[in-house]
Amino acid sequence: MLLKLAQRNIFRNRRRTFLTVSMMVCGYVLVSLFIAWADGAYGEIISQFINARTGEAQIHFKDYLEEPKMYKAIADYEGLLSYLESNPSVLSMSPRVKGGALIFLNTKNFHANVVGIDFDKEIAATNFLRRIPIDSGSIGKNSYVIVLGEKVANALKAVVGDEVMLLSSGADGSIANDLFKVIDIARGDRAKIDEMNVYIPINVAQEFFSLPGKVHEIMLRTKGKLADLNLPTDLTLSGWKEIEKDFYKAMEADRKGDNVARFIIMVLVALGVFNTVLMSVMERMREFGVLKAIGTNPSFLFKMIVLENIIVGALSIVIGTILALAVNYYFSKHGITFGETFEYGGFEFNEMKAVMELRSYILPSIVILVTSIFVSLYPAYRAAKIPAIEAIHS
Amino acid sequence: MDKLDRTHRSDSSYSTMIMTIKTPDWERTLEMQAWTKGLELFFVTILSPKKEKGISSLKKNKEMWNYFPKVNKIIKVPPSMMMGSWMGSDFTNDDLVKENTLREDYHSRFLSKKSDLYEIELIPKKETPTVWGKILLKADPVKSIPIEEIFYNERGEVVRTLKFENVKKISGRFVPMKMILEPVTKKGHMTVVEYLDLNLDAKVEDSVFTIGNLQKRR
Repeated sequence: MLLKLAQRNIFRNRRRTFLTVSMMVCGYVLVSLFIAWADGAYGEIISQFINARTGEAQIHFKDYLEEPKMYKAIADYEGLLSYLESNPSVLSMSPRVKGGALIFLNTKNFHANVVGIDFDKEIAATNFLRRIPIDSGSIGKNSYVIVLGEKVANALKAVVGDEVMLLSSGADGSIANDLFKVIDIARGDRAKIDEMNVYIPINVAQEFFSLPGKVHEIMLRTKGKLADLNLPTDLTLSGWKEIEKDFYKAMEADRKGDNVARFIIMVLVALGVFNTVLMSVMERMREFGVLKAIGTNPSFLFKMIVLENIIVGALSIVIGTILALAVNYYFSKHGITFGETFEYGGFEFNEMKAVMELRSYILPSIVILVTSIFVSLYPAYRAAKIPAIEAIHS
Repeated sequence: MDKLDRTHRSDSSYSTMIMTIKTPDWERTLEMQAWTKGLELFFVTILSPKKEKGISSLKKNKEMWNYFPKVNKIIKVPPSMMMGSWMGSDFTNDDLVKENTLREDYHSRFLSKKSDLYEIELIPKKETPTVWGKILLKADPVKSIPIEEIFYNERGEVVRTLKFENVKKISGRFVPMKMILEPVTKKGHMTVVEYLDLNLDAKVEDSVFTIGNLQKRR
């Protein structure tokens, strides 16, 4: 009886229902798109990080991450590599030797981060060097060649073909010095952080830093969870959240800030819905007066109005979900291009894409349903309380 | 004060020495040969280990050059590297380059004056470029040699200590043959320089202190 009445009331005045529903649907889509966008942006940042630098996980000597020191190296790394290769979750990996060095060219010098890499493996595991057109086949394992990050190259005014000198100290404290031929400059790369890096073949780096057969880091690209990994006790496996701890924390803080913005949008949507519901109930005050005059119980009236709104809310959620799916899908494919690029965590972005995730639908659904119930309470209460005679005269 | 400045140098000198660098992670020993003339000229080359043989430093007035035989390159130490480590030791390039002489560049004040121990506080003069806020010098007035130097930063904290030990009489003068440098800020780090052979007032040609000699001396 109650349901039937509520249903009839809704469809009796199509124009009014349409107004309320469209208000709710708009709110729903707005919240949904906002969440999808924010998640999309963070997702993009994370995937940039993982793809270009950190991988999903890395293996280091025990406390290398907290306090990187030259001598904290992974001893039998080749054995470890073949062991990791047999793990089905590991897609690819890249061993790295890391250190700092002064680079000299003519009268200029610059301090750079030296990364010794297996060019083939690094290219397979990250999308960073892939963007640099290096013919890895031409890089001999023991050739003294170097790829300069853009900032390093600019500081030295180096061009391809130059011979730079690297000066540093090895793991045993010895003085490391060698000449390297510049084979490429990593220009126009999106990862700003890597501009200070220079890349040399891993064997050469081991020789240079007096680390025979050792590396500092094995970067892993994985699929799913890494199961059954038996590492030597002096090594640790860390996920990207640990590796880029500072960045991750900053991002989480940023996300919290986003929650505030999200909350404000939700409140705005709720206010809009409230306004619409209040107006539509007030509009029908006369009608409620008549109902009361013929002896309708106020609590019945109250329930009826709330139920009406729940139905309208549910209807809006259904329509909203369909619409939001379409809108989010469109923006996940096309994205919005910004006039200028913005930088986050050393990466540059000039496009914001939405992401299709369940949470961009659940959250707005809750918002709409809860607000449609809550905002109907006050108008329903007013309608239930008002004396019949007054309502009819209004 | 002038005598203290010239403890190891005299007017000219030629020496062989062993430098031991200790850190919590590694320890290494370098054998070196050095020539000096006055306070302005200084030339040192590494004899062993083999990997570093021939790496040389030339200091001339306020400038310094390093030579790396492996890559056959001479590199002028840029000002930004002056506070950097010299040959991986706890000595800085600046320690070698700076011709700060105690007498000229510091205001000195006796803190105590006993017959066998002077304690002297050295405050750099305004125009003296230095990173030290103060140096506390303990010296032996009889032998006119330093015993210990304690280096303070501008906030008055001890940064490092330099001790002089193993005093020998050479060319009629007392000379500490061993110097121990300990940076207080870096636990477990220490650099010890020990003279194997020290010839004071040896005849040293000016030609030793040329950039050309850096490369020639293989």
